[in-house]
Formats: sequence, C-alpha cells, structure tokens
Amino acid sequence: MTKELNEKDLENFKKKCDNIFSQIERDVVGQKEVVYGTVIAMIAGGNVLLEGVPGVGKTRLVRSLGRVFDLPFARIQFTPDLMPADVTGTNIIVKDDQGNSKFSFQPGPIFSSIILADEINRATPKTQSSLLEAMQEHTVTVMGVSRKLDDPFFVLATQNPIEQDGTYPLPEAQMDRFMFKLIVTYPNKTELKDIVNMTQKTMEETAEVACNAKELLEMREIAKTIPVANDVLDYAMDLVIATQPESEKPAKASVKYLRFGASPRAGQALITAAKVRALMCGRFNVSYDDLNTLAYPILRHRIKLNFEAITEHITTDDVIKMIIQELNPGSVDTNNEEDNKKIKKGLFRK
Amino acid sequence: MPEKEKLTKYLKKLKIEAIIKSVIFGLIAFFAVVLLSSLILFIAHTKNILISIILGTIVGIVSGILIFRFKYKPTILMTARRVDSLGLDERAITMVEFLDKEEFIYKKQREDTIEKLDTISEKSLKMRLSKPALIILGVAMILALSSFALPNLSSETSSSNNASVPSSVEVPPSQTDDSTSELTEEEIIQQLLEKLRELIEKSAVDREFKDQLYAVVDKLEVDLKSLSTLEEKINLIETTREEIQKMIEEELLRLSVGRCLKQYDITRELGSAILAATADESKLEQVAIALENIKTKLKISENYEEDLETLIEALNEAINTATKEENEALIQALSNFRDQLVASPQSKKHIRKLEKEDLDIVFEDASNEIQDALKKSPDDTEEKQGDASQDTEDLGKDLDDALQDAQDKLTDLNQKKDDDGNEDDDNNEDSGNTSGGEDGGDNPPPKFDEGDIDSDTVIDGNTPYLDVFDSSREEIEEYLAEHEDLPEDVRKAIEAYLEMLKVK
Repeated sequence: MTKELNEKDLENFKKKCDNIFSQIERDVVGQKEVVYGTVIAMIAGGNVLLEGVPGVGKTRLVRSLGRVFDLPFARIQFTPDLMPADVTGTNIIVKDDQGNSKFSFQPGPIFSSIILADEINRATPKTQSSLLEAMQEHTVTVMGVSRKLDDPFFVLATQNPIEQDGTYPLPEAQMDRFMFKLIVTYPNKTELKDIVNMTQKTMEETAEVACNAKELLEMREIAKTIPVANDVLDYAMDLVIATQPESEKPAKASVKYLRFGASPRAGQALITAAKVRALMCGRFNVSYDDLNTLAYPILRHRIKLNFEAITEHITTDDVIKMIIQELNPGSVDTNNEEDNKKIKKGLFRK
Repeated sequence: MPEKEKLTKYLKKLKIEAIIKSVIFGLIAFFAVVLLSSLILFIAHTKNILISIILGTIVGIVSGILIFRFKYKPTILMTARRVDSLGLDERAITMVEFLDKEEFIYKKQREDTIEKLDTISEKSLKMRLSKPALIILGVAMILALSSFALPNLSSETSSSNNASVPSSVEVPPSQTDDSTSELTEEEIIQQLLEKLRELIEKSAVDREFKDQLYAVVDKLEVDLKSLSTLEEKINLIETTREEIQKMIEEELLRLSVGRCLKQYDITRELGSAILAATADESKLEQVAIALENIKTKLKISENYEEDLETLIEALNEAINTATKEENEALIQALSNFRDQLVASPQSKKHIRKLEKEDLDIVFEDASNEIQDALKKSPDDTEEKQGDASQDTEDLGKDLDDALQDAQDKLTDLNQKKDDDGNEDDDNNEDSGNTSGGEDGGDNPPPKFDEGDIDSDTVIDGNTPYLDVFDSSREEIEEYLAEHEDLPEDVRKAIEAYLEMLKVK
C-alpha cells in the first residue's frame, strides 16, 4: 500500500462493509453466516465453495455479490461434457483485414473477476483442474501462453451434497485452493416466508453497487495491516498442526478421527481471514475468537475423516470443535443443546 | 508509557496473587517436610518437633521464594494475558507486544485497548487460586499436625523407667502421666495383663505349659484386686512377669537338654525321661530308672572308659545348650554329675576318670539332684495356681537352694577326691609303679607336684572352661616334658585325655 493509513480509511472500511451487507440483504434472505463468510473471503482474496441442496439460494447469493461489488461476473454451468477450453478460452482461426488467417485467443468465461462455478462437481476432473492455475496464481495458460487474470479474481463454486450420481468429487488439491467451504442450510420458517414474499414481486436481483474493484483492493490492504500478537499466531499454528494426525502435536480427536489434516494454506487463510473479521468487528487486532469462528469454514474441507469417524457419524465440524476444545478448554458453549448432546456422548469436554 | 501504566494496577494485583500462591506452595513444602521429618525422627526414636519445624521453615521459605521468582512472578505480558481474559479479545496482549510500533494502525489499536480497559473494573480481575493446591495444603497441614501427636518414644521410655515398668512390657505413654492420661487405672492394668498373655503366647513352649502360665496370670488378675495403689499393682505384675519369663526359660532349657541327651545311645532313655518329666512322681521316677540303667550299663560294660567318655560328652553337650542359663538347677545338676564323672576336669589336680566302685554314689547324687531340679519346674500345677507372688518367691528360693545344694555336694566330692588322690600319690611314690595296667583304674596317672600347681585355683564349677583349659594343658605338657621317666602308656593316656577335653 502506497499511501499512509489513516482514520478515514478505517471508517470507510466499516461503512463499506455495512453497505455491502445491507445491499446483499436486499436479495438474499437469511444465510447471514454464509453471506458474512463469503464477504470475508472476498475481501481477504480467497475462493469460496458453497455447498447446499438445490434451491437454497447459492447461485442467487453469488449473482448478488457480482452486482454489489460492481465486478465483471461470469457464470459457468459445470456439466460432464464441459471442456477446459470452455472455461479458459481457446485460440481460434480468424481472418485479418487482408484476408489472412491467423490464430486469435478467444478468452473464456474465466476472464472475469467473479466466477460462479455452478455445480462444479458435475464436470470431469480434467475440466475441474482447468481452474487450479487460475485459483492459485490468477493466471491462465493456453497453448503455452500465460495470461494474467484481472485483480480481484474470485471463484465462487457451488456443489450439491446429495446428488452424487454422475458427479466427480473435487480433488484435494482443488479443495485446498478454496479459502472457505460454506454450508448453505435450509432457511427457517420466517426466512422462507420472506423469500416467498420477496420473489412474488420480482425474481430479479435488486442489490446496488456498494464497492468497486479498487475499493475492494484497498480494503484488502487495510486488513493486512492488522497486527497479530505472537500468542494468537501461535494458537493459529497450533490449530492447524493439531489437525494433522501425524504431526508432533496432534489433537486427540485428529488421531482418532482423521486420515490427514490441513495444509499450510489453512494457516495462511486463518490469519488473513481473521484480520478481515477483526476489522469487521471493529477491532484492530486478531483474537482467539476470530480464529475459532473461522476454523470451521477454513478447515472443514481440508481435513479428511477416517472410517471410524464415518461409522460413528462424526462430521468434520465435530472434529474441529473437539480440536478447539482441546486447545482452548471452555470454548464450547454448554448452553448449546447440540453441544450438550455431544458432551453427553463424550465428544466434547465440559 | 500510559499504556503500561494502565496495566500497572492489574500487575500489582497479580503480584499479590503470586505472593499468595507462593506462600501456599511454601506452606505445602513446609508441612510436607514437617511430616516427613517427623516420621523419620519417629522411626529413629529421636522425635523432636523443633527440628521438624526448623527444617520445614527453611524448606518452605526457600521453595516459596524460588517458586515466586521462577514461576508466579507476574510480568507485563502475563498481566496482559489475564486482563484479556476479562473480555478484551487479545487487545491487551497485542498492545503490549507492539508497544514500540509507531504506525497508525498500532496507535489505533492501543487507543482501542485503553478505551476498552477503561470500561472494565479493576475488581473484575478475580484472584485465581488453584483448588487442588488448597486441597493439598489442607491435607498436608492435617497430616503434619497429626504427626505431632505421634507418641514420643524416647520420652515414653524415660517415663516407663520412672514408673518401674518393664521395658519388655510396653506401657502406654500416658500411663504415668496423669495430666495427659486418658486411660483409666483398670485399662492400664488390663493392657499390662494382656502383654503378659502375649508374652506367654509367643513363647515356644507347648500348649499344656502355656495353659499353666495363663492360670498364673489369671490368679495374678484376682490378686491385683486386693491391692490399692497402681504402683503396687505394677510392681506385682513386674514380679510375676519376671517369674513367668524365668519359667519359660527353664522349660525351654529342659526341652533342649532332653532333646540333646536323646541324641546319644547311652543317654537316650534319660533324655526321654527329662522330656516327659513333670512333677508327677511316677514320671520323675523314670529319670531315676534311666540313670540306674546307665549306671548298670557302665558297670557291666567291657568298654567302660569309652562309655564313660560318651556319657560325659553327652552331658557336656546338654550343658552347652544352655550357655546363659548355666546356673539353672537342671544344668547345675547335670554339671555336677558330669564333674563327678570326670572327677572335675577343671581341677588341675584330677586328671583321671571315675572308677566303677564310685558309680553308685555319683549316680545316686545325680538322680536326686536332677529329680529335685525337675520338681522345681513349673509343671506343678497346684503350686502355680496358688498365690502368684508367693509362688514366685518359693520358686526362686527352691532354685537357689537347689543350686546351693549342688555346689555344696560338689565341694564335698572334690574334697573327697583330693584326699583319695593324695593317698594314691603317696602310694605311687612309695611303690614307684608308673604303669597303667590292663585294669586302667587301678593305676591312676601320677599327680602333679605341689610346686607345679597353683594351690589357690578355685574349683567351683563356675569357672569358664575355655579360660583355664589352655593354660592347664600347657602346664601338663611342661610337666610331661620335665618328667621323662613317665611310662609311655601313662603319657599316652594323659595326651588322650587332653585330646578328649579339647573343644571341638
């Protein structure tokens, strides 16, 4: 960042965040955690995988985000016959003014700032992997020529967890490139009523622009300046290492329920996202609470359950909760009914 | 720095907490050391509370200071961590860590932290004392204080001595200390009687004999009721205890003597008779019969000397089984018997064996003495069931009398032998006959000259054998060397005799 940070920048950050949320609320009813997580990921510069059953608003949320951030938006519907070139673009033969034929690169939909990879697990692994380079390096290589993508660049992918026939589960390498995996749940009765009422008027998104690309990049730079105390940084690293069953300090839950743990990208994502969350909360430092809250969307797709966990119906979120509880006793809310049930089962310590 | 000053008030509070924790730790160390040292001193019978307290104080202070210095002493970072736990979301710790940073975001962070710090009350920082530590302190304190109540063995011994209570019968420490006494006089007496019964039960005598001793204790219990003061009662118990102990020793001695004699063919019958001996006349007669049989066997024996030597050997071994009790009546009787058989081996004047014609008188005396000694054993149930104190006195008197009788008889016999020996010497000198001859006893070895022997030698049967044997042997060897005219057979007989007497 070239210019000196000042009070106004911090105020603008807060205002813009509030504005982004209020605009998204116009199109998306409920799903606050998903919206919150998606915005954090976008400010932090990460990709997001949205998982949910059909009809819960995944695509609408992404379309709304495209409008709110005033960024070029492209939607790719992933199907089994989708080819990599359909994503990245390809060289085609065109005739110039003199009538000579030549190859000309025709950019694919990936050359946008916000990519909606709808039902990403329906495409073949070959097509899925066409996103790898773009997601990590923000470049696309076609016919030996690398082309840089616009900044900011985000992939917001969706997948359906129940229809597994004819799908291709995302490889671990691809999963690791998503900063967050957010679970989009069914709306409750009130939210459902609001959705029905809203869509009776119009199916069109009504959100207005709240932030442009430049402002978004500025927000990202501001978030990067947030200080992280050494104790907090240590805790973040402990959290990541604890998920690795074969590490020096694995958590008991990891040893028991996990095949493998999170990669170093998880550590990077934790700190980057935690800084954004801290600023959104009006703090100028990262707290343990930021890390504990963000551990779920950051770690849940990076850890792999073993057979024992599957047979005991343990979810990745359960394991993450156990790890947090082990590293930071008392963090489990004993007023929560679900937690209490699991405490009784011996999953969490009181 | 104002930021640090904001944390100073919390730092002071944490210092107080750290001091309290260190004191708790020091107290735990103090009580633990007091407890341990008390136990060690108690085991070593040198219990001294002051030593335990001094040692505990030193260890407690040192450990308290060390634990404060290296573990609990709060730093500004530790303070920040504690303050953050009040809901500051790691603001304080971040502020402390980046105090030297001057960028805008750090300043903003510090401002935010101070603003938050102002909203929380100093009182909300509660003191955190470890519950397990407090529980350990409580337990250590109770144990250490209870260790002070351990009985002081050294003082117990001295108080026991003051009250003339036997050390072998353990008396409760409070027995002679009225101020601390919680036991009644009756309980003390009962404890002492119980100890007596334990003494009897632990002894290695047979059940029948134990029952007789129990009867003595029962009688003692009845007699104690007629006494008025505790001191009198304790004295009576002490006297009875000594007597019971003596009875047990005598019984054990009788058994060991009997078993020892049974090992030899010649004394097997006598050993069995002694083992079976009670105050019953018929059983005592068995002893007389056994002795009579031995005497008869010796008289008709073709190897008289050899058999006599075996008898002496058997008696010697039986006597040696009772090194401490050599003054007991039975041992004394056996010693006298043995001495008469060898004509007192301690005497430098008599180095010869008993002749056959003397057997009658020696065996008669021995029979009487042994029977007397056995009669005085505690097998006399009727006597034992009589008055305990009187019984004890009678028993002691009887034993003393028996001992005195035996000594008198021994003296008489020695005197008689001396006279016989002088006469023989005279005869030998006159006739010049120095040969042993076929019949052996007819020609005893020559007596030493008066000048070679110390005439003041005490022949009382009590002089330790080993004290005189070597010197006597040297004297005899010198005598043999000087008197080359002694016949070879006499010389060999003397050497054989000395060899026989040699301790094996």
